[in-house]
Amino acid sequence: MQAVTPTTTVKSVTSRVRIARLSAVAVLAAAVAGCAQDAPQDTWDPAGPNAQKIHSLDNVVYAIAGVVGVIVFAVLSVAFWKFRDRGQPIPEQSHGKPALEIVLTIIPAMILIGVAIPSVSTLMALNKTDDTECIINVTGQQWWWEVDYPVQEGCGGIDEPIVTSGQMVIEAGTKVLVRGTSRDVIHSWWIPRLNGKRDMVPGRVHTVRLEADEPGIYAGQCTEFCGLSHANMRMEVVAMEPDDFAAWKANQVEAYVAPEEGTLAAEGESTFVAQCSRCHQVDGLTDNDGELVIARPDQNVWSGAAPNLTNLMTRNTFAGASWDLLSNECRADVWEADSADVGAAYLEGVSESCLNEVELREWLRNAPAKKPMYTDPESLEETNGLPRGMPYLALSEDQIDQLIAYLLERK
Amino acid sequence: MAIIERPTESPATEAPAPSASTSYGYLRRPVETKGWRSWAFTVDHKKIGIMYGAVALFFFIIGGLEAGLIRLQLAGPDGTILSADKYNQMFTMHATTMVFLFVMPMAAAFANYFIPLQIGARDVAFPRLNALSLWTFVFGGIFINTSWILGGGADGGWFMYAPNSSVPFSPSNGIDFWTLGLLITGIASLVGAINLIVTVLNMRAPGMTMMKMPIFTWMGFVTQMLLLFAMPVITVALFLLMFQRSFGATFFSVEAGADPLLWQHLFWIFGHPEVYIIVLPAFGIVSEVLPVFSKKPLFGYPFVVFSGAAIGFVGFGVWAHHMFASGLGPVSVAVFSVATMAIAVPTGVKIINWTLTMWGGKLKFTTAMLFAVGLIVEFTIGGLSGVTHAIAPSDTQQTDTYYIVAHFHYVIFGGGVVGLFSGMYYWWPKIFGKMLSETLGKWNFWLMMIGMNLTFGPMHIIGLQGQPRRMYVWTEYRAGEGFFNLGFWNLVATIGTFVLAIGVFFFLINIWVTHRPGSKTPPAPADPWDARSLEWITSSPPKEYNFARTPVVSDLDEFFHRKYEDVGEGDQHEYVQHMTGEEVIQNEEDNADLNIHLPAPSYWPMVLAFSLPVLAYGVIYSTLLILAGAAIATMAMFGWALEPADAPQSDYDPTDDGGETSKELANV
Amino acid sequence: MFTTGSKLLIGSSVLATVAAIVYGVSQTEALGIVGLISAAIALASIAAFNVWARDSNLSAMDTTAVATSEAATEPPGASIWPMVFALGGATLLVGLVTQQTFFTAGIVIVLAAGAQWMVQAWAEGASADGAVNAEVRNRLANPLEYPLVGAVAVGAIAFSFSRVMLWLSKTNTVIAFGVLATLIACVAFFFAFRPSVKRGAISGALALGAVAIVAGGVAAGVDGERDIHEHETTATAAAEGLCATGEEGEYDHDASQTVATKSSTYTVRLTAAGALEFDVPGPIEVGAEALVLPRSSPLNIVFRNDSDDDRRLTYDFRALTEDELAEAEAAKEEESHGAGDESHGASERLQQCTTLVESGGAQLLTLVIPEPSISSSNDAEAFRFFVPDAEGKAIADLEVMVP
Repeated sequence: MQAVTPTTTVKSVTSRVRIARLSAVAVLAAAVAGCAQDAPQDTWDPAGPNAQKIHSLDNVVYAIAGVVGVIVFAVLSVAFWKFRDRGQPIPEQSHGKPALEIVLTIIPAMILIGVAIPSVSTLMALNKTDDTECIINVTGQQWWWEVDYPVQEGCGGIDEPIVTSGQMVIEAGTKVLVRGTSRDVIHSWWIPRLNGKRDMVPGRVHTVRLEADEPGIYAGQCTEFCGLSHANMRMEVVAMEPDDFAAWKANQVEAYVAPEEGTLAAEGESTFVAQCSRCHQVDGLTDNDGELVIARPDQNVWSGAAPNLTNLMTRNTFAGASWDLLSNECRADVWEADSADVGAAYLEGVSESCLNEVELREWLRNAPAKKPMYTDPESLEETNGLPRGMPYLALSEDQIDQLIAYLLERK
Repeated sequence: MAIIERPTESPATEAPAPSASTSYGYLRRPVETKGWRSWAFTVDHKKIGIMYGAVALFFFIIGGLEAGLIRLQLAGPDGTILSADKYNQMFTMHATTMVFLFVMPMAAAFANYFIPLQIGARDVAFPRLNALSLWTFVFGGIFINTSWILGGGADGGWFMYAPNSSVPFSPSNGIDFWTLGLLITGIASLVGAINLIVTVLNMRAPGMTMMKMPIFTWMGFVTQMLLLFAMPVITVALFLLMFQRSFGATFFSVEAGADPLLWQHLFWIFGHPEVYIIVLPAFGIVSEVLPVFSKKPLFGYPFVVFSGAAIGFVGFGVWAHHMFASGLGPVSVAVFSVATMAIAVPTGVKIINWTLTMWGGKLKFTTAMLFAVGLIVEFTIGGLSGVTHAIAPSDTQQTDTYYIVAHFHYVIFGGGVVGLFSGMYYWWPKIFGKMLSETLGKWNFWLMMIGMNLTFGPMHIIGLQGQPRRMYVWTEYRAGEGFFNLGFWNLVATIGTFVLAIGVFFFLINIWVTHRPGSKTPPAPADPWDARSLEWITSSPPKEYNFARTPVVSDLDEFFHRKYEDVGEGDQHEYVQHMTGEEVIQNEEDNADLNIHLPAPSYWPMVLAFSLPVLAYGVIYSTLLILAGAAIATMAMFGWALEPADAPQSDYDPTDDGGETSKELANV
Repeated sequence: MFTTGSKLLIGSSVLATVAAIVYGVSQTEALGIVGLISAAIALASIAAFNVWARDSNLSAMDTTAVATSEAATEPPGASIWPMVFALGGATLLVGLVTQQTFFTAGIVIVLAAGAQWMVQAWAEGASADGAVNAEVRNRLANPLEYPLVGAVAVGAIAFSFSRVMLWLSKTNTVIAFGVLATLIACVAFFFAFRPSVKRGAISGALALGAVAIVAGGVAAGVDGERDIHEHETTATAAAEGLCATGEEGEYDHDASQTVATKSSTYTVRLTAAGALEFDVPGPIEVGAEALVLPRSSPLNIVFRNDSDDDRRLTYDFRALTEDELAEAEAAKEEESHGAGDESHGASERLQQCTTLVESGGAQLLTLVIPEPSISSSNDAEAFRFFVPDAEGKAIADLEVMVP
């Protein structure tokens, strides 16, 4: 993602060489240049101070491990060469030299003590919470993340709670504290370029620090095995400049605007109320009687939650951040934008021309076929008939057209 | 019933006809010495060891096939060979099969076969319990794998974290099979552990103090102690899970106020010692092989022994390093992080001692030696990457990624399986009386080494560059760019798997070539490697009674010192062979003991073991089956208690006290 | 083909089957039939096993052995079992007219004595040698006797011990347990370091200990248990109105020692000044007045009582619907009929609360909030935690926000 500074490159490449040499003698030559470039989840390419702390510690540990490894292998190689059977007499039957043994026991112990000290101090630094500037809650469930911004003076001031999913928007340079839990099984929140992972355990609340140096989109993935679609439970952190972040916040709490009468989107609204609003909340949406529509996912899905779709098209991924809402051409404009432009590009949201209609349609047509979920009515006996994930809704193509038109206005 | 050696004063001269009062009817013990019955009902630790090994090898192939499917699925992005559900079952069962049904029983095979031989005993302390261990393991293993045809295997990962293992999240019966199956194989491990611990403590040959015990026996002993203390923990955890799933308990239900981390603690208090249960036997094997092919005693024998014991002890205090990302709080994490680094010290001591054993030696690179050296190299890599995630902050980046997969395969495959292969090549002539082909063996070794490094080496990169474990697909969007992107390394890993599989296939070919009908492989010499320890002071394969004469031990490397004499003066040592191995063995046979008493075979261990899967099916499907299983178990225990102490074909020597009988050694 | 033993068993099985049929025709109650059929099946299985095992006795099939057996000519030895059997029968009859306990004991004695009698009689046919016959008997009976007698003995000791522990006060149980454990350890060490001690002495000491415990258990059992209160759980029905009041109910003195109250979760604290404060892992959102909780998520909330009084924490969901209200009233009605207790009427709100927590204590409240707070539009309906006083009036309030 980011252009790395030359010094980091040199450091990390030599360390990688070391691991590669240790690990794969046979592929040594290939391993010299043997790493992916710009991997979105590269732990060796930190983009924030927390990940950087870990990386700096890593560098030392890998260097020591590398040196120890090289020494061991050098000694072994010499032994193989020097003492192979060339008909020499039977060696002395010595059972060892205790003094040498003790020295060779103390040396690794000393090395490890040397490593332990910085490691514990880094650990403590990474668990600090008193310098937090912004608090964001995340809640994991099968198989997506809900992100909500509680009312606070932090994050530049939030007066009305913001609920979104899949993508967490933050201000670059702000110390964010993620406070997380889970609604069903254990999930793990991991944005490799910003910090290590933290399991989100039902019934418990865990925190993890996040801070991005520069604006950009930082990819992450659930890393605690959480069932069928574990592989399809992803998330992103979108860091942007303060102005862009303020604009994003304002947009999130804008009042609901109903589609104009007679448009396809207006038909979509009634389809949405009939088909989708049992689980998916759209804030401000009213039914025919003018009553607020409150989604009751607790009565309809096992995890008791479904993504809030009020501002769906301000995000650019859907279904647990597994698929893009942006078509391939438009995706690059946001994901590969220069650091300074990321915020603006992201705030544009998803327009009709940029929509990845193919995959969104596939999803609406038959969600469990696209992303494996437990929705087969025959296997729901144990969950009181509630599916785990979005079920097959048997929507007609017309209804899908209407819904897409409606959803395109949700930004 | 334990074997008790009787003094030799009263050789049976005439065998009185069995009277109605001394034999108890139809429940007499089986006597077959040929055919399948001689294997099915045997209590001979050697036959049991061989069967353990054969069944473990079978499960190794099953587990390997599962691994192959996993790697095929992940060879490219968005793999379609397996569905998400099947993939989850596959990686769960791959781990379960490899850990519980291959490595542990294979280590048990070696322990069963060689611990009695290495301590100069005629069998283990409780021969029928030994048979029970074997059959319980076999039926347990089959039971777990029948889940494939009964609705699918377990799909919660071998770590089976709660609450994902509860019924709402895994409605099929796979996890029930897994839970009950592991409870059954757990019985096998626990019974075996007690048996071998008693054997080692009580049945060593005269003169063999604990510090003269061969190192493999020592490591086996430590392993059994670990099993003894670790198995009860997992048994408790599995019982909780069984009650949660089958009987509506709420141990892991968060809505009822439970804390799901309870399972993690229980699992890893077992799970971490389990790592050492897997590698220590292999460490024992290479600690036997290296001295033999270096013509030097093991460097720092007491250090290796005590570091093994230390690993076993400290291994119980580091479980939470599997939970650094679980949210334990920084203080707990710091403590366990430091404890984990501490355990690297005794492990490092072993590597240093192996290296120094070779230093100054006379190295002969046979296949067994190559595998032993392979273990040192691969395990060093695994150990060093292990240190990198003892560092808790680094671990939060590495855990649950492919980096961990790489690490523990270097430890378990590189440190465990490679060591077991070394043992196979080293002890094959001892067990079967024929040498495996060295040429095919070297093919086997090199293909396995290249394959393993190609498979697991790239996983270090894949993991550090952000690919998590246990994903049934990976996506190109997260694979990065450049030629060496994660897609490339995933493909390399898949290719490596097949190289590795071919390497293992060469092992099977080697067995076939050596043992096929009409094979021209000559019988192995009695002492093919110029070995050092007690198991070689007998014929190959050993006679049913192991030793013609119970050996009297005066040195750590007893066999070596019987063959070689130090003719040097003062500090100058010069070793001259004054006897060949064959002569030493001949000498023993010429002075054979009289009246060797051996335990008789029995039907009941197998019947009792069979009742367990019946009970387990009952828990899953029907209470009636539970009753049937309980009935079989009761009958088997009854039969076990009732059957006579000896087989009827024994030469009975009824004595006044009505107790022991003795049997004359046939060939003396 | 059929040995003596199997004939007996087959006969018994047939008899049980006939009895089952007769019983089934004449009586309607199911339990008896089930019992008799089970007995028939069990006897038939044992008979089959016995036929296969031929009484576990080669001689039974060996005609010459039978012919020459001195067993036929030797008179059987003395036996205590007829007497015990008769005693059991008498107990059974006494039980029929007095207490069921005697009846049950009688059945057990009759069955046990009958089984022993049969086994002994069978074994005495094995040979003319009394010692051999005894061994034959032991081989068959010991595998059942040892585990059964062992289980009964261990059960009796454990049960007696539990009576003693339940009789002692809570503090004394700890002391008694410690003393007894130390005593056992000391005795064990003593015997371990003095291997020369006679077996009789060891058995005597053990028997004495067992008898002492059983005697203590009997005495304590007769005297009765100490007062033990059942602790309320957080699931206590709101319909009983407990959640609203501050004084009713029980303390859970140990709640603050559970693992979960120490783990990473939300804490709601009643301060000495009588305000409700909350605590979450990490810092509290600056400027936040409401506790933000996730929707539809199982939440563990620790209630800490730092005030001077005994208090409980109540979470107020909403008013009960009419149906729920009616149901709750009905349940209440039924209960007060039974208990004659009319202390409080049914609450009209759906609530969940902790037990009464003593000053300085803590307890866990596990709840799932299914709806978002936007679903309640007016302030009176705001989601909230509150601490009720004795009359059920809220003395402290905390707003909850559920996005």
